Amino acid sequence: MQYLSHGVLNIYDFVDENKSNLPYTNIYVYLPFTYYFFGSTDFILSPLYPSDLYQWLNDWGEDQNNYPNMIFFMLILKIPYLIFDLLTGFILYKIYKNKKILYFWLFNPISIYLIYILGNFDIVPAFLTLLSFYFIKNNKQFWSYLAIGFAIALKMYPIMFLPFLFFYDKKNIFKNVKYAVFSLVPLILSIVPFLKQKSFYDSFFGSGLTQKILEYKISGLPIFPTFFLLILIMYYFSKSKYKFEIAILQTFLIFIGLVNFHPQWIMWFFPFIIILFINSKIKEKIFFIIFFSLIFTYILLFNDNYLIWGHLIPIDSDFINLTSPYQLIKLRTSFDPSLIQKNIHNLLLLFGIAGTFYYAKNK
Amino acid sequence: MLKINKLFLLIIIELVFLLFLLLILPSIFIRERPGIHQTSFENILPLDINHSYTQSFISDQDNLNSVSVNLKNPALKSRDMVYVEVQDVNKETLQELSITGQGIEDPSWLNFKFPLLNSKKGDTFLIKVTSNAQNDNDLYIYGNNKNQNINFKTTFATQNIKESFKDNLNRQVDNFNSKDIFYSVTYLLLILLINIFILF
Repeated sequence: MQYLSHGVLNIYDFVDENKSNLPYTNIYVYLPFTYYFFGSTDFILSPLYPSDLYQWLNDWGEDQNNYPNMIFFMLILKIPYLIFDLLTGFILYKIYKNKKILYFWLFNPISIYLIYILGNFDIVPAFLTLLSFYFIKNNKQFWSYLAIGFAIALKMYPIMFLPFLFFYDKKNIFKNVKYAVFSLVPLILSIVPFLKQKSFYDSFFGSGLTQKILEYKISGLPIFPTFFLLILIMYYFSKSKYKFEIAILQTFLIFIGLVNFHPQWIMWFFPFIIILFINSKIKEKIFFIIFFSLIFTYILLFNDNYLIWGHLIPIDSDFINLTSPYQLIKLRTSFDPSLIQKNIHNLLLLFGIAGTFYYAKNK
Repeated sequence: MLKINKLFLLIIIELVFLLFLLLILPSIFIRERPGIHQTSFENILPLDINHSYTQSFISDQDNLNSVSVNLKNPALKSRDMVYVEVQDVNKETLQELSITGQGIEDPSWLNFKFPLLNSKKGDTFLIKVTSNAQNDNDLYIYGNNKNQNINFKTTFATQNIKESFKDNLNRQVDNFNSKDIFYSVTYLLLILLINIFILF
């Protein structure tokens, strides 16, 4: 993102032409709007940057963890996330008129882990998706589709939420047909200048979410899209007050069980499901706690020390020398940690299917 | 008044959380830290019955508990033994460890761990590496072919949780002192402002 401040408008060509000179892993796999959005925030925040911040950002060597002001760098770089975190809390409060949900959103360990510890930008499209839901609830179709349109222009996943917006109010389907086109306007406008460029396709299609979603198949039939269609049909006929949130929860439960997910992807669904947790009965709360504990165990078993101890480097750089749970199991027991992780994933799928049916039947 | 009480409560909770993160967590988990090392040599030196190496170093922390050397077993063929001795300044053996060629890759850092030595910062140690390999192209060690110094790494451990806590406290104080005071104050002010914003 730092390159926009230096006048680079076409990031795909820039990366393609300068690959050999760029710092390690500096490959851009996101949409153009993401680059312009975070490039602009980088420009706005740059007066606050300490003089050695860019040096740290481009340092992939042994000294990258030894910058004394690293904690301050991180605070400055996460200010946009903080703003979107607070805005998400505010919109949740506006939707449910409940202070409990605001405080729950702000102080629960999952939000803190996803937004500030993992530090990916998914909170921004997640906020825009929530904003879109707020608008559709208030019969502001144009603003709703535009908000989700900006979310899609940042990251493609909110396309999954579009059918739920479209069928939210069956009385307004014709109005929805009229405005739904706006959900694709920001994406189309931002990618048009790059459509003829090979470097754009090479970068963008490297991330592979669609491939991951279609990975699990039975007799050639991809399972996730099949479940998604079933959830959508149930949603269409549902009369529940929380039908939107329940549909998102069901999608989340199946998604986690079927897709080799990255922890940051939980953020896509999380703002929508917390109201169901807060208003749930004790047995449902136990279900949520078990499900998230399994997710946490699954994450702990990744063979990636940066995902485990690496988060604690700003506190003490020697954390990275600790053995990851994956390595610990591999070295000290006869179990295969990858197999344990796979079984936990299967368990998540079982719980996910059970939870989906429970919510379909009881809510 | 109620909100001011809540603010104080929130700040106290956050301070406790910070103390846990900065002092307790590293004290519990980080019981071993990397010490003096030399990793920049890129020459491969033969390691066999006619070629052995002795590397001296002055420890930069208390309680040495492992040394690592950088070995190379070309095409993973050699099954010969490699012996590593840790000696004190009088060349008395403190620890003796060995490995067969099967455990050596092409190349690999071999870590030899032992119960921590009650050593002090400033003590001099020697790492002696020998092998029973017959030919000078069976096994190699990374080092400098001019002065025969070799690549090595060390780790030092704390004896108990109390020592670990003290060690970690000193590190955090050093870490804090090395930060720019302007950024530290701005950091704390921003955190305070966020708390006020959330509550009021």
